[in-house]
Amino acid sequence: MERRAVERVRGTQDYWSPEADALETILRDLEACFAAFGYRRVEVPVLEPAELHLRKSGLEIVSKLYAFEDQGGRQLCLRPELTASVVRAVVTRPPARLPVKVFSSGPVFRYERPARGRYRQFTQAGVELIGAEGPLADAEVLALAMQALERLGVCDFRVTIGHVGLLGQLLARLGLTSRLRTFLLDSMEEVRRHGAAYVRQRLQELDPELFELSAAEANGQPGTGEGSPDGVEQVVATVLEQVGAGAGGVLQFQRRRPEEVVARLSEKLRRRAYGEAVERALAFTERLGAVAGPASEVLDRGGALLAEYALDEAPLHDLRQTLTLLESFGVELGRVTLDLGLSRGLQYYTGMVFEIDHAGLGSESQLCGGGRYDDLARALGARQPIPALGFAFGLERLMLALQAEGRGLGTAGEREAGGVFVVAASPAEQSYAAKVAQVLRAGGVPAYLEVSRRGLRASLAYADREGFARVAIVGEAEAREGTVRLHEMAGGEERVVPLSEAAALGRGGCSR
Amino acid sequence: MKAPAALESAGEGLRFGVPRGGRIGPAALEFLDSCGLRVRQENERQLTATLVGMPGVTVVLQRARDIVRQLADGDLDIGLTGEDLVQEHAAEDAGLITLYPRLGFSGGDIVVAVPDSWVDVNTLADLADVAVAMRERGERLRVATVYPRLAQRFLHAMGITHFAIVLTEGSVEASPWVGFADVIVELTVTGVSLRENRLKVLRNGVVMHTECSLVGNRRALTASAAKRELTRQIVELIEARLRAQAYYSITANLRGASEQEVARAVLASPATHGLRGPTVARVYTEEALAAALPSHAATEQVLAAPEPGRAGTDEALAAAAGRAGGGWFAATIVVRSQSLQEAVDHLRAIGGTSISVVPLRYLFDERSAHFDAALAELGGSHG
Repeated sequence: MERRAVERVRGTQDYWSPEADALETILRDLEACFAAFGYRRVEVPVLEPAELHLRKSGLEIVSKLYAFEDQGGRQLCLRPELTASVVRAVVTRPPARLPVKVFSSGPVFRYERPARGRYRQFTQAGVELIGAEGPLADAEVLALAMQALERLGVCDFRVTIGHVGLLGQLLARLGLTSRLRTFLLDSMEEVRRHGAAYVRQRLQELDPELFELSAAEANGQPGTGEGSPDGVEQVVATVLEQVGAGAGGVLQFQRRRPEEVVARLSEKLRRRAYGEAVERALAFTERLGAVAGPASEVLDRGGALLAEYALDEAPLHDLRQTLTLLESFGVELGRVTLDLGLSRGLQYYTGMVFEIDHAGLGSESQLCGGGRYDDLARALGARQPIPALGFAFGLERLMLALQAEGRGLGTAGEREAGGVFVVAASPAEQSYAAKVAQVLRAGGVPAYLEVSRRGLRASLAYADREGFARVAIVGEAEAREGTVRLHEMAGGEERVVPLSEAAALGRGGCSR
Repeated sequence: MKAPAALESAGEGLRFGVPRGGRIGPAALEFLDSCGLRVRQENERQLTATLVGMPGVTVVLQRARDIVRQLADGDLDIGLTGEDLVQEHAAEDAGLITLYPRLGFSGGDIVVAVPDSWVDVNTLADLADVAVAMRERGERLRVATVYPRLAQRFLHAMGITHFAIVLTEGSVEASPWVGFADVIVELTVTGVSLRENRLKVLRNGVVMHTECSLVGNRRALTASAAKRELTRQIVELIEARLRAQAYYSITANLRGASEQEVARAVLASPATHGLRGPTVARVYTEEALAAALPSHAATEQVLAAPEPGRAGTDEALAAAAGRAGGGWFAATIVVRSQSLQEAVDHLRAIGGTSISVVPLRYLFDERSAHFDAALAELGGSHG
């Protein structure tokens, strides 16, 4: 019977050289840059409780979570990003002093629809600055991201900065439920892409009662948003009691307490329909989404919009100051635009957010994303809020970006394999060949020992195709005399040297 | 007789999964039978069977849920199963292709239902609030279902993230009252079982509508022309049968001067246009024959040999009918079920009598639309 091959999991990659080397180099360069800013390495697990991401990450993450139950019945997940894990680490073992500046890296997992540049397992590397607020912290993190790209040699990128606190402010004032607030914050990008009508319809699918009149309004009374004690609860409780609700009654609420059912029902009967507030929020979102472009222009237009809605302009002042500080870091501001409609897929952002995109990557163009998440630590169980922000790069995207700019990899044929290819002329010299390889390595020269049983000619052809510049051939004479025959692939120059000198020559002593 | 095992190893036989038992099984066999695809089992307990008249097909009788898995694994080439089961048990990249969706039986809705007593919960938005309230006091909303993936995907898409799935085998509806779940995600056909268990469906709680459908393994059908051909025959019969269900064939006797005149009268109403137009044929009444052929012997001669091809006699009859001020014609049209009454009324209005109506058994088009669509999806290069 035919055996089917075990295939790679969809959306994952096997990386070989040179891609594997390129990814490694990118990671090393990034981490060197993070370290230069005084950030320290932190390692967090790949496995986390699913709850970590259910709490605050938002649908974009939750719906793509690789979650499962382990043998002990625990709900676990493969981490979909690094930030929540790092913040969890800080919350569960608070450091002696804040702030902490850390960087982390490693594979993350999301159940994506695979495409070029979009994988189910990919690699992130990023920083978190935990325990600091204000424009200087924001500017440092932004500057670090941009300088890391410059260090990698990525040129063709642009930075978009926004602030999710603007819409947050309005939503808080409209007296919407936290669920509606979350939904509307989440929908910022959708409003821009598909329009307010689309989001309104989607909202109606979720909550068909949202735009309907509440019982109070239907009776000609103005609804109230607040839970004023107006007797409704009393009436509801009495009615429910009479129809037999509660312990021992015909109606039982399962694990819900009767008071909870009564309170929610009363609230629903009493409340004013949220329709109008939602409309206001959608209208504001739509206008906010149109404010994008060069910094000074956006700050002016944004200021006017906030004034119109009588909202606090402090977030815009902070952004202005962040940009000014960014210049002191030597960052080229020409790459930066502001976009007040920018919202990231993650729900935990509270303030400044940013994305860095590459022009050469088509639809999956984002190289880096980040922002401020002042509420996350609290949501994960910290006793008080800890202001924090961070970002993460996608390593595979960085590699694609470098390729798109014609830099980085190069083909295998062009690359020169490091070190010396060591081959025995016949099986009798195999043990001498192994010794030669060891001497070379001890002398600091990488040595590739030919272990395949093929003829010398085939071995040399192989070494040539693999890009070795230099081959050490040991035959009977060399073994007897304790020498090595060094053969230059380019030009074919050969010389026999004592084994003790081979390492020095192998390092590049031979002419090219 | 060729053993099914031999067919399988030959690799060109079509392995056709048909549900056995459960909700879909009996309905599936009945449906296939009505399509002229008779499943013949050697005995009740055997898990493989044949299709009468289609020697290349091995029918594999399986639970509907297992059919999905075996299709995904390539152990079956095509199969009948529920759309809900495909959504639940096949990954989106399992390489399945829907050859014929919604076959019109074993239908139902997968719904989210909560206890009747939750008077404050009518929508998924309400349920999201309940889930959050539960989480705040350290509990989790428990969702009983046999559809863990469907349920989770749907609830996530609807913004509900705090819940635990309780996997249940059967009697899902009872679980809130037995006490091991708070709400359920379950298939409902009539809603009776939900009502009996004092559960109500949320206003926006329909996860999906499901019916039995015909599903195939993309790779197997792409690779084998023989399997494609057998699949085509099956799809064609199903399509012709399902199309036919929407139509009746009506024949009425009408008096008129000529075929054209009768056809014109029939075509006067859109209800009797038929698929292309009416088929009109002369009806040979005795009086018409008598008028055309005065001698008794001649009449007998014609009656004894009424087969066509006697152009001379036919023309004589037609001419006679014309002289007699017209004659009787039979008009046959195929009409949609919903316009049957309208069609009958029109035929009556233009003088139709003896109106007979026959349900269509098959209605074939030039090509099978469903099979063509499947071919296009498979990559188009297969004839």
